[in-house]
Amino acid sequence: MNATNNQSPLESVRKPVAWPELRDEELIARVQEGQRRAFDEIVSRYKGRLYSFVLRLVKDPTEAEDLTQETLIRVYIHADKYREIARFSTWVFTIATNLVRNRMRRRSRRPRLLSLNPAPDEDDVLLDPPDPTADPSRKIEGEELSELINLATSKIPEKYRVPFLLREVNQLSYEEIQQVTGLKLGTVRSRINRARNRFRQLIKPLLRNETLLNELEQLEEKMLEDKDEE
Amino acid sequence: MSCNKAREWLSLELDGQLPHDKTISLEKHLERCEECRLYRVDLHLGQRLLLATEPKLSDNFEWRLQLKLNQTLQEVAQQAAMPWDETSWGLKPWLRNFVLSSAVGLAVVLVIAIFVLPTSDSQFEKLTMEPNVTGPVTTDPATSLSINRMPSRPTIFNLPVRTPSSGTIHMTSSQPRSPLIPTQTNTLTPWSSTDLEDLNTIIGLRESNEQLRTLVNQLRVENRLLKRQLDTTTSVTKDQGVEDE
Repeated sequence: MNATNNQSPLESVRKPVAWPELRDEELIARVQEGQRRAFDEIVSRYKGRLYSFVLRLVKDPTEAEDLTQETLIRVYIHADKYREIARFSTWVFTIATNLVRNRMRRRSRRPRLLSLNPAPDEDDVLLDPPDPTADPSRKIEGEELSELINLATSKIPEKYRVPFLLREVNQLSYEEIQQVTGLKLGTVRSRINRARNRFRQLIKPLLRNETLLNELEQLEEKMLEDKDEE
Repeated sequence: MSCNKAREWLSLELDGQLPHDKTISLEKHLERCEECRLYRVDLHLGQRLLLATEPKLSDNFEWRLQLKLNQTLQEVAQQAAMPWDETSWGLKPWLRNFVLSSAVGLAVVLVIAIFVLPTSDSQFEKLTMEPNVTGPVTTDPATSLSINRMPSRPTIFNLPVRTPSSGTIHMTSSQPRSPLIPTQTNTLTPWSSTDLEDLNTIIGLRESNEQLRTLVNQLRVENRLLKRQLDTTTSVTKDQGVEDE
């Protein structure tokens, strides 16, 4: 109810809130007021981005989902601590990055007996046999392409990977990445540059595949369709 | 411009961070360098690939999130309602164990201190029981005093006393007359043996002092008498001497 607009209380109650049109900062303000629906909208916007970011760091889908849920729960529980000094996305990714770091630290103290994931930087060979890039005319399907890209990402050193993913996938600015990671601006720039260089080296054979562009365009179309449906 | 520098600038250009003047320099380099042109294309492709191949969440993600959130909220509410609950202490297990073990250790130390370490009374008893202890021993200083138990009072001076009638001087020693010493009939201020010795010494000295004073007075009197006698004798002798001539 907004008395300054001279609306009757009933009108303001009847008028539905256009949740998708609200900015992230407005949504979190409503969460601070106790509106659970605002939190549902935040979940809808951030679950994919967070999961993608976290999965490409921890490499385990179950663990990545767990950390994504933990991040969103913390956003809800500690919503009152958010101040509009920084963008909401910066705050969310700071929580996620810290959770991932803690998990990686715990993992390094207790090494896994069995690892299904290859260690990063073992070698520059991107692909296990069969090697789809061996034949440039071989069609690479969407899921296979996703696996290749995820594999390439996992081979980027972790200290470069975090700023790289924040920039490439989540489109955070250099200043926001600086806030999330606590690195200096120059360090953020140089790490992103090195990560891109490394990533390019790893996917270079893939980039020469003749069918890649077609597949990529199909994937992008599908992505847009999915967004429209939502 | 080197290719390394150009690639650095290409990364900044992709993010819209390259200043305008550097963009011009970069374009000039790219006109000449095919490798860097290819690098620029690959950078854009790589970004598109990353965005297009974002991993998908499981279908029941949101349902499980809501369940987990509700459980967390219940736990938080429970902690807020019952902060004294042992399970909701919020203390880490290692801290709780540390506090408990410290308390147990402190209790053990206190028990040892109370029951094992010697007290001051028992120490005193030990000392008094030892046969080689020199000096005065008072087993029960708080009980009534007896003159008989007191150490003998030293007679510091055997003082000569002249009786005027007899003209003789004889030595005597006097009895203590201090009102401070508890008599046999009186009890019960506890006196240590050292205190008693000191008191006896003081009494002795006072007696001596009195005796000396008495003696001095007597000697003065005698001196006067002797002088008078001397004067008388001298005058008689002078008279007799004059008559003989």
